[in-house]
Amino acid sequence: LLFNVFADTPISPKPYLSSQIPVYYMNMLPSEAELLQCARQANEQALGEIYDAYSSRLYGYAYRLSGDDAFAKDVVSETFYRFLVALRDGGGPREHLLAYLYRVAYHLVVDNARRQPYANLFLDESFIATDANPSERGDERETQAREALWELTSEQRQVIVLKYFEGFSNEDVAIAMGKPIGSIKSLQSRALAALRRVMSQVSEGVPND
Amino acid sequence: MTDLTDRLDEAIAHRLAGHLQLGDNLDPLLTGLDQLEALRDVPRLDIKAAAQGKQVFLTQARQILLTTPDRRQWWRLISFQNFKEAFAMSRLSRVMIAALLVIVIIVFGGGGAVAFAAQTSLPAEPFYGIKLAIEDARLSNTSDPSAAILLSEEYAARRIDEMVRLAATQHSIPPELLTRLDSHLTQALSSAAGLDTPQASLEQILQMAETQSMILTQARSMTPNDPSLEKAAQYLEIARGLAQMGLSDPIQFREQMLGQNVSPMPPSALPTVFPSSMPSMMPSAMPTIMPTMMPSAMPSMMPSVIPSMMPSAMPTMMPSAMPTMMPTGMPGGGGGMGGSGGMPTMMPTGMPGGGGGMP
Repeated sequence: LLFNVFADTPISPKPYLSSQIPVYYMNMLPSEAELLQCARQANEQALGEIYDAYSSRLYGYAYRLSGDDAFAKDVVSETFYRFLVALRDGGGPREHLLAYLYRVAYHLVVDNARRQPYANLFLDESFIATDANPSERGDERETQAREALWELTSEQRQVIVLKYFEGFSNEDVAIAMGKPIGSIKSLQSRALAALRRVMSQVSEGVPND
Repeated sequence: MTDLTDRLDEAIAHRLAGHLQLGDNLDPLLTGLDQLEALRDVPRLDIKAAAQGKQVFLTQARQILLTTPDRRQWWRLISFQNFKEAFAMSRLSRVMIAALLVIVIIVFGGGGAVAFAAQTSLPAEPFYGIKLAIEDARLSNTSDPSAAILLSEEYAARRIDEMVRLAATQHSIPPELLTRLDSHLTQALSSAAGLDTPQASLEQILQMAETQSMILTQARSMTPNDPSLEKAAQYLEIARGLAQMGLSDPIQFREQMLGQNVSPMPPSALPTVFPSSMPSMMPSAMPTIMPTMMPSAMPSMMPSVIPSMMPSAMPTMMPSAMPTMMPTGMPGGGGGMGGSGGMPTMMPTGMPGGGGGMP
């Protein structure tokens, strides 16, 4: 039996996830590390808490980068799926869960953009009507902003979005990107310079490469 | 340069704190951020979508985190840290135990290691046949019908997981996978039909089918127009219909599944949840040498079951002398996929979740 590793697979009619709960139900607000520990033990409440806490933020993040509602929802689903697979395989984050989830989501967005080059959308002039109404003009500004964002390098873009829109501190951005804080500040400076350059090109009517 | 970088960082912090005019000559440097303000407001994830997403997530959690307990326990058991803590002893003892372990592993561990490695394998991978053989062996050694139902449900979920993983990596889904899924669902339902009180088992089957349907729906949104996934969804829909029939009308269900005392049910009498054209449960191009789709214990109950579920598409009998292993090179499958993870590697090495594209 010792080496028949599959013989003793428990067969229970309904595998209730909350059957193994250490600290979580003791009316204490769990730390992120505790939450992750409970999640590793398939604690349903902990997993639900994680989803509730972060799904909306991840959706906003993916939407901001892509401008696509359905795709942003897919990114949320896929991010959490990968998180589960990582937990199953003994990987995944031990701490800094939010940074981890953002990192996964970011890669999903970038991978998709690689398959469907995002900039191509904006080169199509019919995409933005010239006689657009105010709400469409709002869309136009949003589109231009997104276009400018995607003109940045991948690292610059990530720094700007995480810091300027998602409210990350320099330390959080450094953790999310696995870089020292000094590099984050440098990336930020270069991103601002690049944004100014993109803006001047747009105002002068210089076509993007 | 560093000074400018720090001042810019400080200026952004001021901006984020709501101080628009800094009274500093750095304002022009921040003009790029003004353009991005249009991205500040994004729609919120609507409540319904969030609830659905959470439901799917928790369902996946059950499937992913709880269906491989052996693996996690064994990793925990053999982890170096645990070993070190458990065997804090003299060097001589450690050497002796290590030598003993090596011998035991050499003598017995080969088969276990292969079986272990096989558990996450996919069709077209070398260990996949072993995985199926183990499944068949477990199923044929299970005499309790309730346990057999649970095993069939678990295997059906595995087949769905394999399909999703294959589809996500742009690999074609071999028809044998669909046939296996069909077989697992059929066995679960027919075993339930043989129980005196099948309600609990039928509810489990119903729940499993609904759960897997949700997972398939999500997978199909990522890889639309995959005919195999669509077919798998149809199978699950049929299973759901039959389970619901069993809950509402056990007698008819039993007759439908076991064909007792009645002639085979005409297609028009099938539940309305069935698609108008019943999916063919067997692939149209069946390989000449058919891998065993059913464990050896199955034939006694399957012949009466399968024709009632799929009146014209399924052969009445499966040869008992069929090979017990799937061919290692399954048609349509790609080669060389990593079998350890759940999802494809799409991100660069070293990043969470896999593969490409990170700065």
